[in-house]
Amino acid sequence: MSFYKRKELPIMLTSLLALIMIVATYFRIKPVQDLSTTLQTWTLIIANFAAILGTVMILRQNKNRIVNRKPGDKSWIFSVWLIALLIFYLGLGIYGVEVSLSAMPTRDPTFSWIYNNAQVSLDSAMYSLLAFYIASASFRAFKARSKEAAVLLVSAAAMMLYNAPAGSLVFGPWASQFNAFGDWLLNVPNMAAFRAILIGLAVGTIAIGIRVMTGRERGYLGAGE
Amino acid sequence: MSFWKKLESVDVRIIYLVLWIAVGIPLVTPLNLPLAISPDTVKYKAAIDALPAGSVVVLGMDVSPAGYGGELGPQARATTTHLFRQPVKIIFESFWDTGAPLIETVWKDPFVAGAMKDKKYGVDYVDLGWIPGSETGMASFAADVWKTLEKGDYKGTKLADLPMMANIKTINDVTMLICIETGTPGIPEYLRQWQAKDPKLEVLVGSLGVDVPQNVAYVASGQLISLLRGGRGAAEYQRLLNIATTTDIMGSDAMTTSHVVVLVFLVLGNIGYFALRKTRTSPIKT
Repeated sequence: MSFYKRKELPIMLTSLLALIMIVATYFRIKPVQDLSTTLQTWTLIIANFAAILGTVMILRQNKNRIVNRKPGDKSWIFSVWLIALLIFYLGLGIYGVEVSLSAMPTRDPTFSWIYNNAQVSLDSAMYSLLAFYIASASFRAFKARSKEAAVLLVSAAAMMLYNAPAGSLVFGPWASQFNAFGDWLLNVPNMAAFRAILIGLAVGTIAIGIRVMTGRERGYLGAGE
Repeated sequence: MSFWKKLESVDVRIIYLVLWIAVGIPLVTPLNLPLAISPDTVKYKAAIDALPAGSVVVLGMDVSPAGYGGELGPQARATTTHLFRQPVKIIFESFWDTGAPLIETVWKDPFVAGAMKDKKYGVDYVDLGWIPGSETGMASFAADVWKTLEKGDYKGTKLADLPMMANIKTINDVTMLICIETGTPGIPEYLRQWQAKDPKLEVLVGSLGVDVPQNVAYVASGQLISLLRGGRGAAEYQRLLNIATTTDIMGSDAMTTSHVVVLVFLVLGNIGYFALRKTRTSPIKT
């Protein structure tokens, strides 16, 4: 197999870069720290290319849906709409309407107006609809069918009221006791569980890091590894 | 169908209708429900009040439009108003491409605009816009602010032309980070990349209600000074600063009434379930 196709090269490169980052974090060696900062700046540039790649993938996927549309299936119209809006908004962001290229067209008032009045409003509306789904789902799911389910029900109901701006008012003169109970739920059982999760995550991340550095984890190299 | 059976399985359309009415009434007529201010919100405000003059505060607007519209928008507006009332230098930034445009939206809020009218851009505050790279971008910013932002601020102005940035080279030059966060990258990433490099960095967070259970663990460990708890925290903070508008009050009232409606349905559903339990021969299919 030719040298550039071998898996050893990217594994060695990954291990070397990871080692630089580890040394830069734990030891005060100026040249290594400078190298680490430069590498991180490179990542910022590479991250921007990911946006281009994402745009190309979306265009390609939706183009295929339009080209391969089946009789009776009207959903391809949405792909046309998506591509049209993507090109329009991308063009507006790149060229602007009221500001020149040199002055960051993404600050163009028209570009911002569309963002604030379409994207923000639509996203907020979608998020708000969750209230209706949660109401219906919790009504059906939260039944005290067992002791465990009863504990879940009481905790969920308490947290729901605790998080509502004036939720504790429902308890009238016992509002402060209810708030204390809410604090206890958050700061004792919840925190114990979350700390366990966070510590588990940290240990897992270290394990994955070691596996990647030693070439045992090869998922990032592509399918079939 | 028996009464108890109906109670146990209320039609979803009735739930939606009742919820719609419960949310709609406060949005038409504010109920002005009283609020008990939680200790977390008091601590959040006190931490900003205690900042020495000339401190550098980074306000990370790491939000999505969905989070901004409900809970995080009021938090961001209240925090920005409070910061502009203090004699501190403010750096606005976002590691979320969706959050950066909302920085200017926050500035248009009447209370924010009033508080910033005597502040000068580049001297008292700057907007660095979107910083790409997620957690790696944070690491890069912490190590070398100038190298990370060669593009300049949100308008493309080079950092060398912003007097306030002259002495801000690394995260060690920042006194406090306030993160208004929707998700990842957010507080865990900031703590790993910023506070780990500068343990003196004070951190506050304005978080969505669903993120509160995770973030209280960081408050208890001392990594965060305090947090705003979703919509409730926003409403409390606005009232502490005396900047709650009628719209804000309507929003927090609607949040409360919707939560109460969900709770009432939970109770009704369980009453129906227990009334029918004895008559059942087999468990209910869910």
